[in-house]
Amino acid sequence: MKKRAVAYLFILPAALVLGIFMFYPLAYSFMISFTQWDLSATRTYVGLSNYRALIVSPDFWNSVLYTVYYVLGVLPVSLVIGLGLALLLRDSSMRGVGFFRTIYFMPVVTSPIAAAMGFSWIFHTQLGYANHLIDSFGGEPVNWLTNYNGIFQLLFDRFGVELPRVLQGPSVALTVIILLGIWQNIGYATVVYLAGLQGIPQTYYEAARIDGANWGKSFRRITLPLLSPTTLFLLVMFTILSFQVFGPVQVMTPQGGPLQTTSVIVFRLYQQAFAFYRFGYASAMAFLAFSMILIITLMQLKYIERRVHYD
Amino acid sequence: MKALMVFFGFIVFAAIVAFSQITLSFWHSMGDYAKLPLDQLIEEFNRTNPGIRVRANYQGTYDETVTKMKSALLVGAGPDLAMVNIEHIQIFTQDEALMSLEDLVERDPELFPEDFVDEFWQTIIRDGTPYAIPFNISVLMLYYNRDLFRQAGLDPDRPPQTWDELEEMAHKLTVVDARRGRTVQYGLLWGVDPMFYQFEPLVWQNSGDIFNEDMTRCLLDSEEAIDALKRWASWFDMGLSPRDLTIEEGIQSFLMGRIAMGTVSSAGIRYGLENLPWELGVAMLPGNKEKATTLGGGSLAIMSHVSDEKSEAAWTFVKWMVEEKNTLTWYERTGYIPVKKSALDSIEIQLIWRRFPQLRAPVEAIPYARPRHVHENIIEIRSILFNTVERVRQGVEEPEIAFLLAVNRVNQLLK
Repeated sequence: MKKRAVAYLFILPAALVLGIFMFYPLAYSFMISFTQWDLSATRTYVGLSNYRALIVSPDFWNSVLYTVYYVLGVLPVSLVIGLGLALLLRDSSMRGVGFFRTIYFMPVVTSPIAAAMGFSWIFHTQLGYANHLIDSFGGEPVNWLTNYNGIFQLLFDRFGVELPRVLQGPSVALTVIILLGIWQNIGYATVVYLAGLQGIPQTYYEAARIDGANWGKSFRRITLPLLSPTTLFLLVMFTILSFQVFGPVQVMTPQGGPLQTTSVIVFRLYQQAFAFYRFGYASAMAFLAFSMILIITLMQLKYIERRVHYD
Repeated sequence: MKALMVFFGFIVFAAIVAFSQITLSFWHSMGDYAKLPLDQLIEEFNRTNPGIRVRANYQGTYDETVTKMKSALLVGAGPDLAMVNIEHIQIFTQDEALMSLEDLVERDPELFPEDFVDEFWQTIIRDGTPYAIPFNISVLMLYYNRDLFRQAGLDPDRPPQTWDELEEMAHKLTVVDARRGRTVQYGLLWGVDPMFYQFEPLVWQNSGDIFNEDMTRCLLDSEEAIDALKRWASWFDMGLSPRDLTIEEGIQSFLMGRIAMGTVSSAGIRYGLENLPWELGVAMLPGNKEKATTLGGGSLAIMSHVSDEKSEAAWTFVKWMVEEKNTLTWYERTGYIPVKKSALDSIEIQLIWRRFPQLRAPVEAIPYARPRHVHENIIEIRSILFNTVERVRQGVEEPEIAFLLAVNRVNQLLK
C-alpha cells in the first residue's frame, strides 16, 4: 500500500503538468467544438452543427487536400535523402565526418520562422537568388510565391493535357513551402538513420560478402529490413508533424497563398479562431484533423508494422 | 541604532512612494517603426507625472490585440487602458468592456470634443457616447519615388491627380527590358491585402460604396464598384502593376526602388524619410469621379473594470497624449495625423512642414478621408472580399460574377 503511494507520488509531477497543460485544454476544446463562441461571456450550445458545416465546406476539404500534398511531398523525399546522407556519413573514421554531420543537422535546430524568412528572400520573384540563378542560365524567372498552378499540371500543360483536380499537385507556392519542410527534416532523418545503422552488426555484412552478395544486394536484404523500425518511427513522426505545418505557411504566405492554395488545415484553423473569433468552429476543425491523424497513424502501425523486422 | 532608524525610515518612505504611485498597464499595437516614438512619449509622461506610472506592452497587430484582450477580459485580467483600433471599438462595447467616457469628458475643464477634428471624433462614438479618444489616426496615401519620376522625365512635384493620369504616368514609369521582354521596373503597386482598406477608396472614388448606411447590405454589386474592380484589375493586365509579387514582395520591391508608386498608410512617412535610399514623395490618392481615401488607426480607451482612482489616472494619461504639443510630436515622428484642430492650425505644424514637407499631404487629405464601416463580422467579410478581388486579379473569375457571388455571401454575414 505504502509502496503504491510512493509510486503515485513519482507520477504526480508529470501527471499534473500533462493534465493541466494537455488533457484539460484538450477536453475543454472538445467541449467548445459543440458550441458557438467568440470569446465573449456567452457560449451557445449548437450540437453537431460545427461538424456538419465543416463536412460540407469546400474550403475545409481544399485545406485537407493541400495538407495531404504537403505531407506526401515532404515525407518520402526527406526519408530517401536522409537515408542517403546517413549511408554517406556512416563511417565515423572518415575525415571531416563530424563537420558534415553538424552541417546537415543545422537546419533542424534553425528556428522555423527564421528559415521561412530566409526562404522568402531566396524565392522573391524580383529580387531573390533562385530567380537570379535561373536568369544567369538564361531561363525564365518563376513567380514562386504567387503561382497558384499545380506543379504536375504545369508539367502536363505542354502536352495540352488537363489533369483531374486532385492530381494537379501542390501549387508552386506550396511547393516552395514543401521544399522548406524537406530542408528542415533531412537532418533529423539523417541523425535517426545514423543511429539505426549503428545498431546493425557488421557480422551480417561480412557473412553476406562471403556468400558473394554485392553492395546493392546487402543494402536491400540487410540494411533496409534492419532499418525498418527506424523508418516506421520516422514515417509516423513526420506524418504527424507535417500534418500540423503552420509556421512556414504563416510567414511565407500570410494571406494563405495565391488563391488560398497554401491554406493548410492548421492555417485555416488559426484563421477561423484567431482572426474570425469562431472558436467553436475552429475546435471542431482541430478534432477532425486529430481524427484524421489518428486514423492514418493507426493504419501505418497496422499495415506497415507487419513488414517491420525487429532484429 | 540611529543608522537603523534612518534605514527603516527610508524603507517606510520608499513604501509610501511606491504605494502612492498608481501603475497603469497599457496595451498597444505599435510595432516596428512606431514603437520607439510611442515609448518616448510615455517615458516623457512618466517623467512629468510622478504620481502615475504607465507601463506599455506591445501586444502584436490590432487584430492580435483584440484576441488577447478578449481572452484576458474573460478571466477578469487585462490592461487598465488600451489602444483600440477605431474599427474594433464595437467588438468591446458590445461586451461592455470599455468605460463610457461621457462623464469624464463632460466634467473635464480642459478637454472639449469640439477641439478634435470632427471626422476623427465621430469614429469613437457608439450610440451617441464616446468610448475612446482618437490618438493615432492615419490615411491611405500615394507614396512615390521622386528619383524614378525624374528618370522618366516626369515632374516629381506633380503626382497624378486622376486615374487617367495615374495610368499615363505608370506607363512612363514602367521599364521593360526589350531584349528579354521582361519588366524590370513597375509603375504602380496598388496592392490589396486581407484588411481590404486599399480597395475601398477605389469604390468611393468611383461614387460607389461598400455597404449601405445601416450595414445590412453589401453594395459591391453596383455598376460603380464593378467598374472600379475592372479598372484596378486592368492595371495588372496592362503590366503596370506586378501580378507575380505577393504583397510583402511588392513592398520589398518598392523599398528597393523597383516599383515607382504605391499606396501606403501615412503612418510610415517619417520612417520612409529616414530609411529609404531614394527621395520619397507623398501625395493624396488620385481620384476619379470623386476624391476619397481611407481613414484608419487607433484610439485610447479605458477598461470598464478599473477602479475610480485608476480611471482618473488613466484619463490624465489619455488627455496628456492628445495635448497639442504631444499630438504634434507624435505626428512629426510617425506620420499619424494630429487629432486636434488647434494643432492643425498651429505655427509649430508649419515648422514641421518646413522640416518634412512630405508630412503635409495627409493633413490636406483629411476632408476626403472616410472612416471604414464596422460590424461584428467585419474581419471575415473583408477576408471574403479580399479573396474575391484576388480571383479577379488572377484572371480566374469575371468581375461581375465575382462581386455578385461575394455580395450574396457577405449579406448573409451582415444579418
